[in-house]
Amino acid sequence: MAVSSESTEVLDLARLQFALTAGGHFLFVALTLGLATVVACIQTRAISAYHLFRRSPEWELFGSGLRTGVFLSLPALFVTAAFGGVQLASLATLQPMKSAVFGQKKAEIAEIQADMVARFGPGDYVPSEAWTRGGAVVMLLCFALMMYLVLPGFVMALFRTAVYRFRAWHVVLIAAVPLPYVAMISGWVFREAGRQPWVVYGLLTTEDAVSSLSPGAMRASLITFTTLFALLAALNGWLLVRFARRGPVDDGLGHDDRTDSGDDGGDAAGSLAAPSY
Amino acid sequence: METLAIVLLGFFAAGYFALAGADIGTGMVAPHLGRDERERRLVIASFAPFFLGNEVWLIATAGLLVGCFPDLEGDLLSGQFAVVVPLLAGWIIRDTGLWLRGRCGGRGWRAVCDAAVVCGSWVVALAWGWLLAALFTGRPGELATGPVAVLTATAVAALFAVHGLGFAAMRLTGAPYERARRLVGRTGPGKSFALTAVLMGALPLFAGSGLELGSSAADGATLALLVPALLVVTPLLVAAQAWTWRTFRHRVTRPSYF
Repeated sequence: MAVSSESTEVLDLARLQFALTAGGHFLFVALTLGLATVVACIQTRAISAYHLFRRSPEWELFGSGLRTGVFLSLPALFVTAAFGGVQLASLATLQPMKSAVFGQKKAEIAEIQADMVARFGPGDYVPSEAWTRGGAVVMLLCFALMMYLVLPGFVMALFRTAVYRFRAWHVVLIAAVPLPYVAMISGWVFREAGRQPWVVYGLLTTEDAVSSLSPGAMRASLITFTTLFALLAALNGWLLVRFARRGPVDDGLGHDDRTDSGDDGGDAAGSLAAPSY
Repeated sequence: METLAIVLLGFFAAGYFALAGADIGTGMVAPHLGRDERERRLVIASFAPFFLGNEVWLIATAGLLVGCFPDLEGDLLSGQFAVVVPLLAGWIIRDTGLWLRGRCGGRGWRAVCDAAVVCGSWVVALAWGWLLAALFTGRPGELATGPVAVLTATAVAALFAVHGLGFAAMRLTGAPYERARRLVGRTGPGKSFALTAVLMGALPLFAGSGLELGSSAADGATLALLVPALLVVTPLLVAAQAWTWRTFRHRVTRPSYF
């Protein structure tokens, strides 16, 4: 009894640790790498690079934008990668099958499969290797590419001439924009595909978790929301590029085009007493 | 604990209908209130600071349903799937129209965004009516059909629209205000809004009274975790809402970011 409650406690603690590091990976993915900071850094870099490449008049602003982006993406990238690495290490104990499929360990996969059949009844407990390993490899490749870009970039950004004149570098920085997005999505694929056939590892299978809906209803909702979000993503991307190209002067964001503000235009904080919403 | 969870579910659902009903309703009647581009922008500005905060109440309701009433949630969301999909799609389309309207200069662009706001608002209101029709009959697991469903959906959508008009009459100025006021009638806009708010809030409460909430509640341990957490968060949500209303208590005279 004592042994069993102790092992439950160990498992709970392991889960908690996994949740926390996963949270860190997500948070820094969200705040740093893929996600807001690395996306912001890489986009700042790319947008600045674009304007430097085009020799926009606000070159000083874009020079400091490029430097900020390059300097911040180094720590952002490594903090995210560190949290990811910690998770990969604890994967072997928490989701051994995912870990084995990722490592292509044939013997281990067969062993875990046999063990799971014994514990949960007959079934295929091996997730798709193409999606699991594929997702992980693409994520790691993106990380490697970003690292190769960030390390020399960090040194180059120290030199004024490189920041303002090295046009080939500007082009590479613009081309790197998709990397954090691809890393984020493929990392998610690795996470979700590798957990199959479980929704909650060892407790609830995806098959048991799914609602009793007709295939037609599922298809309809899949088509509806995929179309809507694809459209939104395209629109959003188009707007981002549009505003990025315009530069800081007439980007229109936060620009106040209220038609009758002319009478009190030019004031700073004085007229804020009555909100105009 | 169970009773508390039911009270919280009712509170959030009623709050969502009374609050978000106002911005959805105003969106529904926007083409009537705002006849030209500038006026329509003013109408949107009347609810622009509120709609995101109002949507939080629906998220809270849905979260409570998932966490505290998993059986009902399973029944409701799979049974009403054909209503939930257009409801969410309409919501997305409406909010897309709101967020994107001011981001581009073209006349056509703004016309498309206006259409998205209006159509999306109608779809959301009608979908709520359709969903409530099933709940009123006490069958969350089955789609409401027949003339009763059509009548309920239309009546609920009409209530959304009147609620929105009352809200618009409280918030607008100029020609759009005159139009909103004419439809609301001689009673002050505040009174009309208070009346429709009570009716809107009563809709989900009435719907919920026909459901077996007690028997679909989660186990004691889950409720013991979730309910106290909710009790801590709820006053903050209410305070934030009150703060929004206080900050934007003045009528709108000029367009906003949207």
